[in-house]
Amino acid sequence: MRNFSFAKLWSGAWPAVASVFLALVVAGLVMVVTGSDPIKAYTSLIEGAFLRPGTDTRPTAFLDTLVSATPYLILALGISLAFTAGLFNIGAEGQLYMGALASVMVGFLVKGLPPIIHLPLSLLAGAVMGALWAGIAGWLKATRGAPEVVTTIMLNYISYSVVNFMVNGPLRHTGTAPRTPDIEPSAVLPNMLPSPERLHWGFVIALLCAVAYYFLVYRSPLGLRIRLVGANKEAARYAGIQVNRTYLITMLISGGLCGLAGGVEILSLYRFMPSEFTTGYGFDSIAVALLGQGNPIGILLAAILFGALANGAGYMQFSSGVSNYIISVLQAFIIVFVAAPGIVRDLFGWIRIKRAAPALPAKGGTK
Amino acid sequence: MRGITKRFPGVLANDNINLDLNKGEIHALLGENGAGKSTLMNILYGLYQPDAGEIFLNGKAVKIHGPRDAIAQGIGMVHQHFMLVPTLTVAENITLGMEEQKGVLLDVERPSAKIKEIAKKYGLEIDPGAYIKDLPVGLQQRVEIVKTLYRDAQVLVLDEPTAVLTPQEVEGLFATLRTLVAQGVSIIFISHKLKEVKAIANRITVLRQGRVVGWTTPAEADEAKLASMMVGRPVLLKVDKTPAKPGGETLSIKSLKVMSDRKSVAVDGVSFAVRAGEIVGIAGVEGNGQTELVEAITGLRAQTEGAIVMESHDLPRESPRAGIAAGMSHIPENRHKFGMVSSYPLTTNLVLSTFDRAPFTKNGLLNDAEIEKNARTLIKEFDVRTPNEFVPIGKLSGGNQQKAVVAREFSRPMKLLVASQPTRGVDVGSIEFIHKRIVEARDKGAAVLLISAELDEIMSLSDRILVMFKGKIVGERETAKTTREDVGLLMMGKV
Amino acid sequence: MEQLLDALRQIDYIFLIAVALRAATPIVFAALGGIYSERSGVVNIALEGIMLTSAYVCYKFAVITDSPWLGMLAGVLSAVAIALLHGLISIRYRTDQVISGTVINIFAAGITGYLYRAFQSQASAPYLPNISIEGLKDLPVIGPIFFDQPMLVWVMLIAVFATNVIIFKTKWGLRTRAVGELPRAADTAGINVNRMRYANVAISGLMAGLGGAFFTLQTVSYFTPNMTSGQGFIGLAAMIFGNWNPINAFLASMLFTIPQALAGQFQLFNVPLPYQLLSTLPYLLTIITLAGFMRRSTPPSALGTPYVK
Repeated sequence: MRNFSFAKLWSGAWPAVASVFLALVVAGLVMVVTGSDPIKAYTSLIEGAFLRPGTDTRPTAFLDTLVSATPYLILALGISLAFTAGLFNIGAEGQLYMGALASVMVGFLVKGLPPIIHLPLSLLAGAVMGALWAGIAGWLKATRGAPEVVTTIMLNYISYSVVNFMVNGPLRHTGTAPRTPDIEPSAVLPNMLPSPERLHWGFVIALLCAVAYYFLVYRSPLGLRIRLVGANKEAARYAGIQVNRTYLITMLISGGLCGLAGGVEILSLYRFMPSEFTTGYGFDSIAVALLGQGNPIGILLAAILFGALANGAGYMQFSSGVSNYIISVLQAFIIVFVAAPGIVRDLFGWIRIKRAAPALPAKGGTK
Repeated sequence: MRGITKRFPGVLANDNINLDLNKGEIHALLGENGAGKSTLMNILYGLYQPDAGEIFLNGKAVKIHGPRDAIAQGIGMVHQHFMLVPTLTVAENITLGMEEQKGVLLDVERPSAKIKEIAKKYGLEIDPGAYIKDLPVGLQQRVEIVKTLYRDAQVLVLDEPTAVLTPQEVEGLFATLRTLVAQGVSIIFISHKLKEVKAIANRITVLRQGRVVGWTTPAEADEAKLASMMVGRPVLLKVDKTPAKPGGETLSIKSLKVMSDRKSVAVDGVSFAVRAGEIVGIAGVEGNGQTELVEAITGLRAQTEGAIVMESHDLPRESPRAGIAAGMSHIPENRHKFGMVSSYPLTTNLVLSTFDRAPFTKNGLLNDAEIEKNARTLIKEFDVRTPNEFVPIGKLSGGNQQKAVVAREFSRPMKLLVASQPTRGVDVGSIEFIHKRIVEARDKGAAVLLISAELDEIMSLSDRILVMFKGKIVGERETAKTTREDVGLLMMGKV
Repeated sequence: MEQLLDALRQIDYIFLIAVALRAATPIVFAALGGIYSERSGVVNIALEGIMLTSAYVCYKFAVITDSPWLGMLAGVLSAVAIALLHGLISIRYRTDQVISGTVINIFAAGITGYLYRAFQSQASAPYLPNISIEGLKDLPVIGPIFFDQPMLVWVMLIAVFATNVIIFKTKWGLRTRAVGELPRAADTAGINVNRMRYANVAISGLMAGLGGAFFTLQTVSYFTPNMTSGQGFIGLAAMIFGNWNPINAFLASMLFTIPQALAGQFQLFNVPLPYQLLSTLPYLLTIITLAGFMRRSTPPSALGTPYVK
């Protein structure tokens, strides 16, 4: 890679690392104030997310963290692509749902295909559905100037209703629970390791997406076009780039990734569509995308972080008694600090000044 | 003002400047773009704080921390870009910051009466209830002047006030200034236009690169002397060029109509042609439709009627791509908004419209080696002063940015060059360079369309001159067979 | 189809308007908040999260103090605080205002979700009073619409007219508009641009805070996570559709809630349309209005651009 240096890498990563650190401190303070022990909480969190080895009945902690990280990674890549063009795809959650729905539909409605065709087809259906769902917002932005930050959120709410309607109505499985039938075995996204490990091939798909993201955004002409539109859309227009078409293409790819995430999750872990599929992944992934700062490796690390938080929370609550909902507080502060690196810089400067103060009187008297 | 010094990151804008203003005089501050004139006056008006130096008013030292202080001291400023909110009325704009109230609500009657009074006293008729967006530029300037008088200004600073006026309106402004001076107001007049400064000023101070290089009066100085004071060496006001050998029609504009952002007609049925191997200059005061004309030709704005034809192919509306594909190059008048992406390096900016083609794209991926090679070649050829080709273009000086833009536009096969204010905000050395390259392009067979608010630039570069006034072409002249005065009259709309 | 026409014939349309007016209340508050903030140049997507925070705080403090008034006060104060946080991030740290707003929304959802689950209780919050005037509420047409409504509906109507006067006829409004259209002009006139922006963002928090109180102190007496369900965003759409004018924004809000009330009536009359699809109505309408109106809207010229001297 041309123009690469560790100094540059660190200066790019520093805001993200500092934000996470500061958020840990603040969440720790919240725990102290509400009578819990942050050290115990954090150590058991790390244990639960990374260190606990697998047993006959329990998966290895680190591998399970990767399972949790998978949807975050794919979603964050999609959201990050949109950010690169200057677009706000807050609709990742809805695109995830619609993608999951489409994947499940192809998964159980289509019968008699060999897995080598059925599985990719189902995943493709998810990606296409996600792309179309985001494409609505993208098309409205490109042709009518409708702000995608609002239209994608509206589409989220609409997607909840659509999924609810479909699962309770036309796609409903016989029986009492509101859910679809199971998908055909040929559409299952299989595990990579034997039970009780849950690590499935979706993680590999996510890594491939990250590689594809790098090549698309940083090495391809389309990627440069997207970056230029995000940097200065008037100059891009002047240079002959079709800005509105770029917006639409970006939203399609972004939605495609988010829809794919939905397909991956549902075809591996669930294997049917429940009527209530509230994950919140789509919103948390916005934080992952912001932390990753447009860099695929950064996004991968941030996704693993959030996977760790999700995976370790249960053990943290069990081992230290701290409610696992503190994770949402932690995530909330991470996102505030990442959005305003200035706050982080000011707070760190304040800490440094306080530490420096005792040294001054010793130097005094010389002028 | 004594010993005023002001530093910005990377540049010493004002270097130990002394300036005196006598009561009832018009004192001109002369210098080229970037000499430090506006900075000095912004310090006087409190928008900036000096790093060193003091200001004395009527013998007493004063500290001006902000515009409020300046206004309280009787200093008023009319900026180059008007500080008028288009969606508010004249009265609202004038009273902003010192509004009068009737209880909780705004009082409109008392200020309106006071405005009408001032208008009568100084001969500056305006309607307090009119909305700024409905007023022509000359009247807007009048509102700005009344705004300062409403606050009892005794010292009036005018920053490049004639940039947006027709020659007729300039005469009107000068008459107003003489009236004000007769009433005891003292005026500082910032300009880079030698003729006007000579016509209106009592005394002239010349600034160059942040320093005072001399004082004089109109009686003692002639234009050549003033010009050389401004740039520090004898100025070549003419470019050497051989006569043009025009070929076939490259660009043909037919009955073009273009609307402005304000939904008014900016270009009103314009037709003309530019042939290969000639430079056609469009002269005219800014604001007569030139910007919209260029935007339509280069595809940044859709025309409502008419055709733009390149070598007998109609260009589709609002498509910069089509123009570029047809061999059009465009040096935009606002390089920051259109011409370059400041945060990106020179390498990217120099292939801004060509990166998706060979050799810059190979097998579907960007070919960094070729892109960097291209940048190095162009940087050398066009004398762009930069530490290396990876520097973000925003970090270069204005002149070097413009040279980079020129380099990029010239690096494509050029059938038509549209150059709009190509030397605005550019240092003199770069100006000469760019002028030479434009003439070279013409000699190599390109058709050149030059738009400039600097009449000297038009006269020295163009083979043919078209004059634009109120959206129409009001005259066409061969440069060799016309004079400055002749063109100036056309610019005023006097055929 | 039969049931649809039947229902249309039997619906009490006066009652419908009254229901729509009530439902529009939080949307209008969000729209008014948006108007203050955006007229001064600051995009405030955070109104959704601010309303949600206020709803929670109103509920908690009303339960703790057993007074809806103190609850509302606490909620409004928390809303102003979060709004100022958005202001800080946008104005002082010059972060992209849409990012700041989105971040605040996620932050608010996370914090309220956590607090709700950590301190979950079954307690009901005491209600804010209704305005139900005996003689007047039986008047035809205006009776049920105006004189038998929760208190905050009246507060909302007063706020609409007050905002109209403030923005267009007072010194504050004039300065706000100048700051939002051409901040440099306001600056040279001696006005502190950023201070005006902070103040207007705080007022937008106040409005959203009142909107939040509506959820937990007037309609239901408990809090559920994410109970604002996008109404803050619908309020922003109403603001755009109303071209940043309070009275038009109010009418636009009604334009969203009347079909919603109609859908509710259809359900009562057993019109066989699935309720899930009917519930998408406000969101669909928002998308349609944004798609149709964006090109014709005239936002404040300096909207979204941080002011640098």
